[in-house]
Amino acid sequence: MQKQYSRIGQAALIVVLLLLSVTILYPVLHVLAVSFSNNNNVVRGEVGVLPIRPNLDAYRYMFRYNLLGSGFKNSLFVLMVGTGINLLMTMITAYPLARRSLIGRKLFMLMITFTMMFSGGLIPNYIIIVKLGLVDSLWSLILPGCISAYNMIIMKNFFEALPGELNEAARIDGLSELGILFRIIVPLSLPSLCTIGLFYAVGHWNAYFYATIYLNSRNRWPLQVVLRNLLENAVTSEIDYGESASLPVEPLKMAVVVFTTAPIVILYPFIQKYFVRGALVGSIKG
Amino acid sequence: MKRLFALLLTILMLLSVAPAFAEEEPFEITIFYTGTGDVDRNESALLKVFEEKTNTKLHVIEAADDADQKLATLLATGDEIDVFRSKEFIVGNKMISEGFVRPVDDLLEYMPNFMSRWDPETLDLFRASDGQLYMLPNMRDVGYGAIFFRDDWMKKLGIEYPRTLEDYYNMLYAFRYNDPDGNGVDDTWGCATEGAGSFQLFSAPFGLPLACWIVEDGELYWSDVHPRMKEALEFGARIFADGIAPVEYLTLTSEETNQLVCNGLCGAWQTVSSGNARRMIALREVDPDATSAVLDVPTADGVEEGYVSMSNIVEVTELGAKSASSAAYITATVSDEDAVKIARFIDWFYSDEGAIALTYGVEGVSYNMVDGKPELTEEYQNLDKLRSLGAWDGFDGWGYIEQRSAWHYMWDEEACTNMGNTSITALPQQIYWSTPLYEELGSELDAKRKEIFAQVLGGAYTAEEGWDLWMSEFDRIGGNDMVEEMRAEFAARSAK
Repeated sequence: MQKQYSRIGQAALIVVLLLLSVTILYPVLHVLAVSFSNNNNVVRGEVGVLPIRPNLDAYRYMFRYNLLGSGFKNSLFVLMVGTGINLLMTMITAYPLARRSLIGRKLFMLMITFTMMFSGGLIPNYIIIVKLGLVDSLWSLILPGCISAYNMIIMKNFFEALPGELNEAARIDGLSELGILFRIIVPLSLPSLCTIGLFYAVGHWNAYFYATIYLNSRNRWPLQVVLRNLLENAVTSEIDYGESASLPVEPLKMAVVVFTTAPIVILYPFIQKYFVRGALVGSIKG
Repeated sequence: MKRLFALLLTILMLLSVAPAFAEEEPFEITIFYTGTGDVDRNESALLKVFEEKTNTKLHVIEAADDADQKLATLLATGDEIDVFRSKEFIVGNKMISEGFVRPVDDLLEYMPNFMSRWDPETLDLFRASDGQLYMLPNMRDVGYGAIFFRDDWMKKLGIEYPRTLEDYYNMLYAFRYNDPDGNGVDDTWGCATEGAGSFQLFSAPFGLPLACWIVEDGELYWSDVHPRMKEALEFGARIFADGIAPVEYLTLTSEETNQLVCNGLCGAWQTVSSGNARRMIALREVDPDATSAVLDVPTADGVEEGYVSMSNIVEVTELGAKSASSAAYITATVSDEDAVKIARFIDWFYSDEGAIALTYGVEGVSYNMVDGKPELTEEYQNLDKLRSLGAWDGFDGWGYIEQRSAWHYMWDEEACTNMGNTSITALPQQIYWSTPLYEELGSELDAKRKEIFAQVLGGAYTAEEGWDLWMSEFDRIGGNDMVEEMRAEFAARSAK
């Protein structure tokens, strides 16, 4: 009897999860289908989860866009260099703050936490960027946001959870503080580093607002700004395009969504195991 | 010795006059710019033409979205922008009131091409409240918003072209109930509204574009509270009450409205001419005989002309242009000497040579002169390609951009005809200045109007109730104070 109930329960669970999966997958499939469909079919609302009159017009239009290459290159640069700098700076800030013996630890934490609640505003920030000579430079997207206070606190909490005996043993073996950090602590902190690295990376990949303010040249625009410009261009540009005699504006919007999210979707499975482990580590204080 | 002395003297004299023959260095101008195109304007071929023709070195600061925010940030921090353009006159007026821009009256003597393009009385429309001219308005000939309708349905049903309000109602009624598509199914609607945003379908016959200032019999009105707007509301309520348009249409997005039009399910809609051209391409895939035309809006009793829109209109008479689509501004950080050079630079764009370059691009590359008129080369009869060069509207913001003669390269005959005809229901903008309350309350009042009118059309209120509610809310938000402030300014200007 119990076995029967268990089977019924399992079956019900499977059905519910399948329905949930369909609910989640449907918009994703719809976006993909629209991106590969004929514009006129999309405009008439005929596209569901399968493309109608499938074609690559939208992708072709997107990849023909002159600024796409530079946008991708700029975003990749900001992502790789920015994330590396972010992780390094966050680590070397979090590590000493994790040591209870640090003099002025509470004061430092107070100052850092203060920045989470208050900021100077757009104009003072812009003036700083100007004074530092970072206007129209990709470094304006990397250096000001070097350390996220929130991520730093997560990392600090993780370091605090590591046993202090590790540090003592390493010190006895002759390692310096930096050596302890990079040879002992960092390898143990991979879950946390991957999680926080992912946060930083996604933030850099999605960089938009400050890019529009700090960057003055189109060939320095990151990908998100380029894609927004691409869509604006398409919407205001009424041309006869190829055989369909219609600019693929609607499929183009979805093609842009696919192109923007694809790198993150591709990357995520490789770091998923770290992300699951690391997602909660910073919230547990040992 | 004497010969040597003479030789030395000659050399010295030559050296002293050498700079006078040296070519004048190009003058550097920093321009803040926002717009479409997929090439960095600093690297565009057309920019090089501008520099060569005007002996300048141009540095373009590009802005993507949020251009107003970036512009305000740069101006507030004293960043070195010399010239910027604004499509929104209310933004330009804010820049004037904040002291970010300089007056240009003293520069007009250096701008003969600019002065030759404008009706002299028109320039006074652009003056600020202190009487000074701060903006250099520009002209761009584009299609405008209009009401489009299925004229093939009209002919099929044997309906006469509507000339009165009742004719208009009857036509929409027939589109709804007389099976215009001939498929035997009750699936067509009289008109499609894009949310509550297409109220022009109902206000146009009363001569009232939405959310704008109009001058009638020497008096200034905010169109949304003009007495005739109440009649428009009654007309709209009647359309919905009689089932000519369904209530659900009040929450339609633009994509959903597109679907209705492109599936041949409604007889009239409001959009811009280029948007309509796109819709027709999609519609003709399912109905090859479908045609659309701009509706010469039939008018209510006592109304002379029906007006759908007021924006981006160029009315050019023998005296010159009478209205503008946007404007260029020179920032207050520019010295008087440099301002003259900038004025001369901008003036070139109002010359024939400059106007052609702005619209058609680079001679020998994107166009050739044939019998004194520019003709696009085959490769550049493509809007994207033309824009990548910086032409068409790549540097919209100053000069005279005359696009009408090039429309036939881009669109079919019906679209070109419709684009030209949209001007018949577009009211030339008459008010280009603003007051503090208008800048503060304009958007909020527009949003409140949309909310209440949608409730009336949806049947939540009668037209009478809805109008009373709207007038009460208009007063509560400060609309009446805004109107009084604008009228006082209007009276002061009229008295000058």
